[in-house]
Amino acid sequence: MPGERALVVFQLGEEEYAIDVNRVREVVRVDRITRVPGAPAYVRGVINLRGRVVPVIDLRQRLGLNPAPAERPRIMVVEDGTALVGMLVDRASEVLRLQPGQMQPPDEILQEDDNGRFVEAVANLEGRLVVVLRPGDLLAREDRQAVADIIVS
Amino acid sequence: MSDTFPFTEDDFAVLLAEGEELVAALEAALLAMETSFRQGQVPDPEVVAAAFRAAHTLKGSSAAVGLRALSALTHAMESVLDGVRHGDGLTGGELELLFRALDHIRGQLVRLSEVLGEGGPEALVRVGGEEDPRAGELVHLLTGAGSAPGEGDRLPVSAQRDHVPPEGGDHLAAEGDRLRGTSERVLQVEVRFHEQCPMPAVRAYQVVMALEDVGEILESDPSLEEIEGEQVDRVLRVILETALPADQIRARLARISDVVGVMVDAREEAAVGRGGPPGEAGRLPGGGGLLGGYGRPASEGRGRVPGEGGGVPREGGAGSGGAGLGIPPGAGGLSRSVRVDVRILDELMNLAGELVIQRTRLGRLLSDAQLQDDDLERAVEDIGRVAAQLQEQVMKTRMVPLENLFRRFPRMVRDLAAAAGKEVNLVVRGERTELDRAVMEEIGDPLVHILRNAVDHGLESPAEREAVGKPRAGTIVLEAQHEENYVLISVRDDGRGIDVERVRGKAIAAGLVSADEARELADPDVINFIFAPGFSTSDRVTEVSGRGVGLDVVRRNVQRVGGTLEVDSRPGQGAEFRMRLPLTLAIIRCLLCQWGDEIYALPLGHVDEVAEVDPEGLPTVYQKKVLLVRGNAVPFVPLGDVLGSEPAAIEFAVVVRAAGRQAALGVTGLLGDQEVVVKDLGAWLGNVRGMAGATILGDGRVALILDVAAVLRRRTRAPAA
Repeated sequence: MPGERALVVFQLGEEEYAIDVNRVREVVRVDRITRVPGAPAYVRGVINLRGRVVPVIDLRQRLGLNPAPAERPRIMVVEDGTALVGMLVDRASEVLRLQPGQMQPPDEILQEDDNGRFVEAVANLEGRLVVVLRPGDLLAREDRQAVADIIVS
Repeated sequence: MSDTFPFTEDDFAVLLAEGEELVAALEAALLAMETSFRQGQVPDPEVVAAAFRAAHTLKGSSAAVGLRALSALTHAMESVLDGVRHGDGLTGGELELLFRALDHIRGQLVRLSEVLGEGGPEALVRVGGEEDPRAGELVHLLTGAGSAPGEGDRLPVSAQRDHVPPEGGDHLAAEGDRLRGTSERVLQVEVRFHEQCPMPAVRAYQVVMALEDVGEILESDPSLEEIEGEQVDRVLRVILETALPADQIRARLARISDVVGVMVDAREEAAVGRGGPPGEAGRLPGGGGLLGGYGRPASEGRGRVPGEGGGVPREGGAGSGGAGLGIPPGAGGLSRSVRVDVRILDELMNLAGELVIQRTRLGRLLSDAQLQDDDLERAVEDIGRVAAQLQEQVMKTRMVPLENLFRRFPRMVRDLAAAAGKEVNLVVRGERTELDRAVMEEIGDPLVHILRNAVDHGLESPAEREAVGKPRAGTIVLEAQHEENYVLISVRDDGRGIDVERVRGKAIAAGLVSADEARELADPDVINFIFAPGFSTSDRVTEVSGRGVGLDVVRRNVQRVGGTLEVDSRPGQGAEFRMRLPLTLAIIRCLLCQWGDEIYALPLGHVDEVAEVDPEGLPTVYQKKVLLVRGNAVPFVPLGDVLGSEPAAIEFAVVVRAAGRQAALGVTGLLGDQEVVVKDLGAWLGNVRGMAGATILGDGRVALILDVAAVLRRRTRAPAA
């Protein structure tokens, strides 16, 4: 159906979020994340993904949510161009097909918040709310220069 | 050639791969000729012959892919060089023109490779068919100034017989003249190409060009049209009218790549008068009709003699790392080598490293499982051996001789010297030394900078040198050599050396050190200030040297690849810069250190020693802890403090050194040293200050490799605790 979107839905605490299925490479569980001193605060560290070193970001922190990490978080590996980035999520549940009519732009309160820029739309599925994220903005490295400055100072 | 473009990417690959080599060979020969002329000597005939051959082959390969402007230009160069071969001499202006023509060709080749990379052969139609006014201009200048009467047609063979070779002159030319003086005969030449010859059409064209040079082609099979249309099998037959004896022809053709057999026969009955007018012999493809029809030579079915004429394919050269590398000038060729994208090599390296790691893991799982299965253990061992060999071989593909970098320096130094009004002899040694391609890419700029420095600041003007009893021309020795897992590259000049007092003054003026402190410093410490950020010894900004890039950047670039850069100076006698580089970036030996439950890898090249310490018992200087290392107080820094880790109980100190600085890093444990496969932190994260990369340990966890130089910088900038 035209305009239909396929999204991977995942949980952060009680809330449900989703990201375009085309950006998601896989969901893995990793026991050890190596901290990277000097990386941006929301970068939890790096993992070994079958021999490839892949950075992992703390999605809660990136989105400005309260920290309440699950005991055994999953890492959703998304593609950013040819690079891979892992995102810590509590649970990844399903792939959801959404019709254009089921999505609405984020409401104004959300947009006022700086972190609102990560939100593309909110899907309302008979009372179940799913926040559709923009992976491009999530992974934007506006901090790149700032990182270097912080370390030097 | 207006509508169709009958050449493939592969054809161009030949030109590009060989072109670079040939341009380099031609340049080296021109430089040598220039040196001879400057010293009032006749250039070595071998050198002139080499220049001529390079120009000639360039002509052949550019013509073979229809690049008319380039082939016309190389033809003009060839004509001038041919004049030199025959004792015409060369004016300074002509030599300069040859250099400029060379630059133009080099530029065009670069452009071609860019176009090829972007749009494939179709895009080349544009470049191939394009006007090249600069080439035309150079052709005009060269032919106007040179000895050749016209660029399109070669002189008739007989016209050059009157030349008397100069004393001690070109014996090749003399030989050619003697041979050309003998009566001409008709020969049948049969050339066989290697079965895996990737571009037989190009090779066939080279053969045709080579034969046209020594005589007149009466017939060929396949015809030129067919050669252009790529309808070339493994055999090319040519009926040739020539004065050259058969063995000479064989020798010439054997030089062409992928030629595995040459057979030359007298063929009296083939004496037919259907050759084109002599003036057409220099025509380029696209003009058509150079080689009209052809007949089946009478030798059909005659036994072929592969390998005759010595046209044995060359060895690829172990570790030459791909096409265009390590090929002797003039020989040209892609035989036994392929071009591989460096990214693929990197990926292969990665995978091979991963295999080694997984093998280690398998071995551990096996011993944990206590299966007592000898066969299984042997199998795992075998996999380990194969994996290690695989890794080693893949490593080799990354190794490239330094020649690839060094060969542009003679010309650069020549131009720099000319601009600075100095006379310089550059001596290059050890250029066959091999180095990881990735390391080599990083040290090009640093070496350029150091050489510039030597020419601009190190060497005196000819007058100054004479005044102190030195030869007018200064000497710069660029030398590379192997030492264990390192490659040492030194740049040594016999100039004035580094003026310590001037450096001292500058360091004070730049606020790097107080006047009192500066007086106390020993000379070697003072000289080290030339590597300080923002330091420049030269008051005057030259065209090339003074571009605001200091030696600090040079040293940092060298350190980035895990190398060190040091300098020595003897007043009045010269200075020497020494670079110590790891053979490869892909695998380095590291000391694995613990901080709590974190593991970090410290490249062994930066580790001086380790010691057990009790941090509470350490002496202090200015209330900062120091470790006494052989009487020297070295600042002691807990590694965890630098990295912002949780506090932990320190038991060892690792004394590290970078950029002339030392520090003792406190760690909680040492896990020994091992070779690690260096990986980046992922493209998304990019470079993180203080980290040189990451590696995957035997248990699958990721350990970060510390960038010791950056860690030391951070330490010294951190406010006192």
